[in-house]
Amino acid sequence: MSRASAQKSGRTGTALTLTLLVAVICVNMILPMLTLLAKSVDYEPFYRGFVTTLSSRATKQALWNSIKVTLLSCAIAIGAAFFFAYIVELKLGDRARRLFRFLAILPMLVPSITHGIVIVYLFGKMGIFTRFLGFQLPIYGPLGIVMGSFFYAFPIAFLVLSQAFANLDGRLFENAVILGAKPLRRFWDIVLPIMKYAVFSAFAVCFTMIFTDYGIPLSVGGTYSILPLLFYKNVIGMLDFSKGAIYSTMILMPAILVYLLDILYFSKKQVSASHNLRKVDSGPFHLLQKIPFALLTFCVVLPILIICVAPFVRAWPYDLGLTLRHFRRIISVGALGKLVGNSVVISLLTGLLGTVLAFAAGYVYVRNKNGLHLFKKITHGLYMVSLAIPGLALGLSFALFFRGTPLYSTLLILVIVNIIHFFGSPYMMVISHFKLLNPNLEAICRTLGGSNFNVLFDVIIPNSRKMITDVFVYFFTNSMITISAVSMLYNSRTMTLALQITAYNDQGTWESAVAVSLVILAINVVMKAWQTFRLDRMSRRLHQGPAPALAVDDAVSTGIG
Amino acid sequence: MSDLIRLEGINKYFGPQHALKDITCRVEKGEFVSILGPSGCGKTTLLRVLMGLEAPSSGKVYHRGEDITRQPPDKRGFSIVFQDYALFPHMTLYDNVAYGLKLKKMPAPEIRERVMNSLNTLKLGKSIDKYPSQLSGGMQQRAAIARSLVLGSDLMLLDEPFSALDAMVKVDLSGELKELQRQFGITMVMVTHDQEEAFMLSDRVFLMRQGAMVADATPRDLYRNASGDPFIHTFIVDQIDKRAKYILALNGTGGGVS
Repeated sequence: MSRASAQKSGRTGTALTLTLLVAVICVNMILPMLTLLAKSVDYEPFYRGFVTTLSSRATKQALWNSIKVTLLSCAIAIGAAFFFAYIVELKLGDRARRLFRFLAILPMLVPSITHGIVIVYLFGKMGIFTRFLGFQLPIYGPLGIVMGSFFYAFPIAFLVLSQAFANLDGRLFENAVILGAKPLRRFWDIVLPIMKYAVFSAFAVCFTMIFTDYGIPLSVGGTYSILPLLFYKNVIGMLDFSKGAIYSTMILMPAILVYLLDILYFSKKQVSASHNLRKVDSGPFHLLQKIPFALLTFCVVLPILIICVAPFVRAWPYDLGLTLRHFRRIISVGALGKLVGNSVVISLLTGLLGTVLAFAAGYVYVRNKNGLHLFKKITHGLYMVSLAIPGLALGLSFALFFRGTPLYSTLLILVIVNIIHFFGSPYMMVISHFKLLNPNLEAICRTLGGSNFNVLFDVIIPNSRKMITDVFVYFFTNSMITISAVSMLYNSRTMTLALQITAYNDQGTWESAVAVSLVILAINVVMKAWQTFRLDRMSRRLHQGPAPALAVDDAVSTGIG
Repeated sequence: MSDLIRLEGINKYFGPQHALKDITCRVEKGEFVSILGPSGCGKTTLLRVLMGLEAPSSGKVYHRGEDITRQPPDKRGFSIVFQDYALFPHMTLYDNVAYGLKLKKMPAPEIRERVMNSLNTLKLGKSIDKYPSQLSGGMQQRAAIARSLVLGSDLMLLDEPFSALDAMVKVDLSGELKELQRQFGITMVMVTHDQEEAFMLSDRVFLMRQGAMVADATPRDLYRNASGDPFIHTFIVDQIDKRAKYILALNGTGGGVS
């Protein structure tokens, strides 16, 4: 056997390993989802279950309510985020931009249910605004859900849109100016047409997030019926898995539809970043813009302020004295230590394993040119669709598929479900990274005598540190806040911080719920700070201009909590 | 025979596309050969086959009479310079140049000596601690050449090495490359789409068109004898003549520019 064939078999070996990695993901995703579909049709003989459930008044009402609330929340969140991103990216200086980007993404570092609880703190019977206004807003119902969803979706919409604004090419404006276009005309003719694809992308992500979320309705939904809640009550409350399967399929469909539309039609037309773009000169920052901007900033930061202050207040809002009582209680009675341990272990493992898998899958997709075309297309499509699978549906499918196996009651199943749940966005980050990384670097390393090991550890990984950090942090922070998929799979030993918030919400112990939220926020902020610090140091070392923005690079990371 | 490289009946298919059509040629030791042709003619694919980055669908590659067709790139011992430099962005100039020697497990003092020699030869002695992103394109390409040179290999392959450079840097650096080649007796094979560059530097030119090699001649022969072939005439003779006319016009000794 010659060296050549040894080398060749080495390469085949690598390809096989990577293929195996990818296959693991497919099996973990496809088989459970098929089980879910099978379950949803075995309710009554073939499809009857669907028909009966769909035609019931309760379902129709819930579906209609879900659509209304979701569309309204999306419109408000995206409108606000559009304005905010426009000001932040085009009107502010470097330092201010970094600060406001950071503020804008803070709300995405806590679970969605926390935003519902914050609404209660603001507008509930004992809320600050209620006392201030002298009357109570009807927050338990659509109003509360829309308000909470706004806080929940705003950061994500902001990430997508700010990236698009940052990529606007100033040369287009200069051309328009030369052609004599007035400012309003320029906004209408240039900004809007370019931004509309980004707006649709933001819509697709926000729609999926809000449509599938049950955290906010759980805390402020009241008796208002929407689909995820109906699902939650049937599965968690009445353990009716078949009906749950039908509802989760119903939740899944619109999300997938919107996503497919985005992938097939809109995202292809997105204007890609050009290398030598010139900064847009959009004129001065008017007072007329400053006032709404300040108000909006206040709105966005408000939930974070509440989360930081409320857990230390003795008895909101009567006795505003400070205390550590609530923390003492969640430490002693609520076993906070164990929860932190579980959450951090799960998030670290999800981060590590998820990063390795996303790295391998993305690398194979971009670099592997020898055959496997059909396979690549299928897996690629699956990963993209995985972006739209609601956590509830995924969690239920895992529960159905893995029930009875030794894996079922372990921490590991939570890690696996998180990896699958959050896989789409990191995978996209890996792909866009490798498309930009010069393949000749790998070729040079080989001709210099480097083995596969050298190529990976001397060339690819050192030049992918930023991407690896981003991907890891994405997996980590999302695993810290998720309550959807894991809610179908945890037990008392594997309980996490975010799930405990749901429990406190059920008991009505709001102080404890906010205190736990603050713990999650703190851990996630530390993670984000570490990411910023690393990215800063990297960019300083390579002397490539100013430091990158605080992790707003997860712009592609349009994730679903 | 003093053949360093011999290609025999090389064919390469990418799916239905016939990228290289039955290419046979040889490169002698110490020669400077250019593979010249319009974009998409297969010249880079031919170079990649030589490097070992691409396996031919059929045909043989010989190095000093030994069949290396199936040998992987790291065993061939050729050095390579790319158009986009392909310097490792996370390494300083010094580390970039030293990396290949480190992979060969050479003792540190010897590495240091050879790296400094190579960097000084390319006038980069003062920039050894800089990262590629801190250097101009010309300096980066010098570093890439230094990284190739330091290996002391008998064949250097260059893929459009000057295409991304400013006109002035291009002329200076290509002159220096030719000087290096003479001084160290390195055999060089360069891919280019630029007729002037090929004619200035090469001992011999392989002219390619649509995957086939249409001529293998010295620049002088190519220019003088090939005017019967319409492709060679438009691609070589016309182009050279036009540039010559410009220069003559600038000097005030020729007629107008057509």
